[in-house]
Amino acid sequence: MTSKQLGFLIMGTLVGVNFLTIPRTASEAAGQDAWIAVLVGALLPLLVLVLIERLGRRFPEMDFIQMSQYLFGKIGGSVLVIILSLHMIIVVAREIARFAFLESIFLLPLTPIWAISLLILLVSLYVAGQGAQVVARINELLFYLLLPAFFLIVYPLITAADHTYLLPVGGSGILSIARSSFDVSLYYGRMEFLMVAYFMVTHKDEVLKAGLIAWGAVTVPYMLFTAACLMVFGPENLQEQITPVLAMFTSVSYPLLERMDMLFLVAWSVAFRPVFNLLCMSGYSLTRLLNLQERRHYLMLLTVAGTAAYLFSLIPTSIVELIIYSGWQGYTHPVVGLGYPLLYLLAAKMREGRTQNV
Amino acid sequence: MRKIPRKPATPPSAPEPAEKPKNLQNINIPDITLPESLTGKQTLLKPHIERSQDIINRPFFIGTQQPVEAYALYVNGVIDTDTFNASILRPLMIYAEDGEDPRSQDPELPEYIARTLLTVGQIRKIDRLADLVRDIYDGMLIIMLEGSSQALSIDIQKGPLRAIEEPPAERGLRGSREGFIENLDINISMVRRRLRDPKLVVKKTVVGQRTRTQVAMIYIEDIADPNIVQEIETRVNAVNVDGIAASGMLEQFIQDRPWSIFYQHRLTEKPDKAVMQILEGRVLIIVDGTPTTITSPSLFVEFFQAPGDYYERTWIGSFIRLLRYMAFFLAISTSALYIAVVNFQPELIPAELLVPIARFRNQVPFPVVFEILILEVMMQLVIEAGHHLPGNVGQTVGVVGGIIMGQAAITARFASPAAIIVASFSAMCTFVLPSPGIALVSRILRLPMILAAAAFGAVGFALMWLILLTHLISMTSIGVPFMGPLSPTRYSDLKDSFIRSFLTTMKKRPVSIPSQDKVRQAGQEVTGDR
Amino acid sequence: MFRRILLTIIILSSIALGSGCWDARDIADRSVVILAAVDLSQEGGTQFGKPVRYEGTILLPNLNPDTEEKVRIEKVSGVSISGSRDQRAYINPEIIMTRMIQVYLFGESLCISGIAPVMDSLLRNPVLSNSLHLAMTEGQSGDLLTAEPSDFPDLGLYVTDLLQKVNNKSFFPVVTLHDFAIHSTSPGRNPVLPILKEDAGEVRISGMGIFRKDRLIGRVGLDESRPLALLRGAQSMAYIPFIMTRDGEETDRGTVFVGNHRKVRVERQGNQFTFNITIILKGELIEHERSDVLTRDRQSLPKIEEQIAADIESECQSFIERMQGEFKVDCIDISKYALAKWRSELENTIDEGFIEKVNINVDVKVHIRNTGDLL
Repeated sequence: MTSKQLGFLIMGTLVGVNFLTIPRTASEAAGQDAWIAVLVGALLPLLVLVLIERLGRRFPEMDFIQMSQYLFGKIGGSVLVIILSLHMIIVVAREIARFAFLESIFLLPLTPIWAISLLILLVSLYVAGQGAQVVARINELLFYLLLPAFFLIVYPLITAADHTYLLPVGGSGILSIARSSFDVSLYYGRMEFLMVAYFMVTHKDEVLKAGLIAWGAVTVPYMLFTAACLMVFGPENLQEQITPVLAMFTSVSYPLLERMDMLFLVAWSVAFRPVFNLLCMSGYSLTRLLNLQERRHYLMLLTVAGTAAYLFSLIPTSIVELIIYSGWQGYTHPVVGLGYPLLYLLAAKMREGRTQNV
Repeated sequence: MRKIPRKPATPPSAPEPAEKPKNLQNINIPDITLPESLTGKQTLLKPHIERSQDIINRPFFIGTQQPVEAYALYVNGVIDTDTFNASILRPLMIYAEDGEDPRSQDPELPEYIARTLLTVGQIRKIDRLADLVRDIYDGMLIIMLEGSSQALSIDIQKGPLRAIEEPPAERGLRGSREGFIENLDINISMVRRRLRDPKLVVKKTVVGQRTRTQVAMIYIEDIADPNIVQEIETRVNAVNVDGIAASGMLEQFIQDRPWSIFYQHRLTEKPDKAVMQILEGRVLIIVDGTPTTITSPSLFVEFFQAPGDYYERTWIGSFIRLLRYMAFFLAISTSALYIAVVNFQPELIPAELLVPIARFRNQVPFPVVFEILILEVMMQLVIEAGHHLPGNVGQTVGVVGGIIMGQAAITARFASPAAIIVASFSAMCTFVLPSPGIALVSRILRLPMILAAAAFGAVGFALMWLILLTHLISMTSIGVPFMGPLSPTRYSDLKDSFIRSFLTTMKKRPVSIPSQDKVRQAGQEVTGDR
Repeated sequence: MFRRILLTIIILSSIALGSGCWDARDIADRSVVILAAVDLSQEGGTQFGKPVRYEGTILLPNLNPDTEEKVRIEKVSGVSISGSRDQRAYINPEIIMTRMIQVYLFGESLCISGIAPVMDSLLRNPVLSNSLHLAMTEGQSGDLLTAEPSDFPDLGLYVTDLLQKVNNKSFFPVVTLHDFAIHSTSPGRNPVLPILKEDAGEVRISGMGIFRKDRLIGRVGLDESRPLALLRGAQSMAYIPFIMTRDGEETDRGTVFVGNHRKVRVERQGNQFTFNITIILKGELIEHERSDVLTRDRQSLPKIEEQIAADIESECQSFIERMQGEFKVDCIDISKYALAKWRSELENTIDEGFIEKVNINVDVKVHIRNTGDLL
């Protein structure tokens, strides 16, 4: 995998359904300053990126599994790898559930959730089953294919936006912005998948640069869309929208194609990139952990991981439960994202100290 | 037609790798040295040729004073009889004694004959029975002499040949009208005449134990990536089959993903296209007996390129390219989108259009999926019928089938006008595609799209496209990513993908196909108008 | 072995998924609603033992080409607006498709009691486009649907075009569902709705309704809708006729065709807010009756501009007086500029007793680009 592809992988993993809902979360406390909250909240994944990069630099020869077992012993390392894989599987489950609910609400109201989830799972398994390189490439291609969708923002900005909704800048107070930033940073999570993906890259010295570009390419559109939603709806009305970005597209009548929101949603229905990206990563680390022949057992473990994620995704039976569970799950992102690299760095420091003493 | 000097037939050991099973090698012919006596040779040879009644066995004497008994053996119709009479029989029988006496027992006699008497180009001496039998069946004229263990194998093949015509599937407005024909040597000569580089390598090998089809691999030594050349050579030589009839069969033996629906090699019948492919570092594979040649490795975007793109103005070429990509997308998608919109997301249709469409749908008793499938099958049948009927009748069937059956279907309330438009539009789109390979694929790919859209509407349609794209991305052609330069994205190659950029800007060879010599245009930077 | 099992599972589940077709609904089995009207029920009655409150009327273009009628009108009533759909089952076998609704009409009585309860059912429907147009009617809106415009396919398309293109020729705001929702929920903003009425079988726009949040509190006629639209800053292109006088005598009469643009500045001294609204009108003189050549008489054009500016200014001033005295809501959408500066301070109080106390100055600038002379 090249570092450029890693960049697209990061973008694909960070952007999921949350892209459609982030303006509401951000404006919950911060009001008209939601866009600042989005920017501040993005510092968490940035920190995770930098930490993992520092960690990876110490062990350029190893992969994630070897490093874990080197630092924490065979058993300790394996436990850590399994925990991370489980974490990723649960994130996948949440993403599947959220996608299924979204499609169920807007596009397929009568189709049962289990069928939509199964559809997403099967397609994801097919994509992830082709291996990390193909996954990275499809992320790259999807990025370009979905790019035009971002330009849809221009029309509502011209016709329906009201800049007074953004003013006065900073008026909601530092405390509110900080609270919203924290909420938003949970949305950004998932950067911890880099723990696995980092070691697949050939040119490790370019990882930081690619990661930063990807981080910027995620943060800037998030900020733009949050600001645009604010300008179209205002902070009060924004709270009533489940998916403000979609609502923004439906609130104006585009020339030629009136229902741009539907078209956007159809295009977005292939964007469950986090699902197959993280499935691929967890399948890969499990395969390496068991020291199995890659190609055959990878598929098997991938299916196991996918099935587990699918079953987890069926747990929430309503959107309220989904939001509650997602809320809980969200807190694991800073824990795992910051905890893992810090723990590993600490262990590396201690081990270094020990070897120097010997 | 010019007679092209032919390279000596492949040395017996080179093309056949050791791993071939013994029983397939030179089927049951003992590899022994020929005896000196003519009758001995006859006896040995008899079991291998007695059931082939088209083999002519012509006894004659060399010279008149001290005649040496000799036999000419050949397959009827394969050799040029005029040359045989004038340049071989005549000098041997009549002029043999103009100079020295031919000594009947001299082991150097074949050498002498070949050097002084025979006025033809290619003569080879053979002394093994297996070679002898194989050369007879390869179409050589064999002359066996009394008293020499060597026989002469003379290449004076000439058979009826098709004239060089423009290939019907790859017509172009500008550029060469020549197309490859069924004869390997003439095909190679067409390439040579267009590409006079001394570095052009022509490697010949034989594929098929029984058909013994000649296959030539042509590439430029200092452009083509040696690894790719090596890989192709290994794959071609590893083909272990009793016979291939055409290049399409060879292609299926050397491709990376046999299960895929996509063609993984660009096939072409045009020498000018082939030359350009060779110049980009590809290997041209010509199979004797097939005008369709294989260029390898291939990229997905190549199936949308026609040689004419490069001969036209850049703007026109680019426009036509974009049109083709659109046609491919629409050929696959139109029917599926129609089903998705009508059955699942009717809000995507403008209100003014929705009401008329609904009114027409109201008259058709079938579900829309069934309606589309009926029309689709009908269209495919019309296309197939058009292919198999002779020229003008085929066209008539297309027109009559299309118009009359469509009109009748509406009147009979089998289909609504919108469905007819959709079906005929997607059929029309397949005809835009320049490569027959991708056109055939697009006819089939429509079906899974229709089924996905019928089950899940626009979501199913989008997901099926995701699967299709993933499949394309995961594919390789001789180890080269098939979807390059789109994914992995090679930005410098994009100028010859969706569009065809100005020729002056294409200074480097495409990086999607590995090559040794990267630079295509040397010299000063040319930007804009001069 | 595993691959084979996987393949089998995938094929089986694909069949299970593919044979579902849960959402497939043929367009031929649907009834397409183009126009919908909601009223408070006048007749009363009960639904499942509970008193009926709303009355929904929809207009469906006839999709069967073999029958005479062009449209079908269905009126049902129910406890809640979505709940009334239950009654449609007894009169229409087809699936009612609401996503193509282009215009929603509200009856007068409903507007007075508040639209918010109905808006909820509209905004909650995710397949409904928020860019559909809203209007209120004089009297019950359901009665309006029986009107048949002779030269349009049906009333739905006619009303859609009417409401959508009204600002091409007149200063009049175009109101969509999105606008109404935003204006009725954001602090400091209030919506307006066009009023439709039936006049001798013909449906026409007759004025504008002024809302405090979702409740109708007043209405203005077509004469006053011009200053309202200009003060609200609703983008339009419109004709403004004018009469020039000198010493009390009419000297010229004509028309300009202009587009509008609004700028608002807000100043504050203690608790006294002053809004300076600048209305800029740019366009062309398309008619003046006197036969002077204006290119020679260079004073005339500025005079016309002044005259129009003065006309509009006085119109606006009198409307502002009416707004501050009678309506007591900010229907000209300027409070948001105060919010933009002092949001946290004003947010909770701006909707009550704010607009009455502020100073509003209007300045109209007119730029006429040509002279109206023959070329």
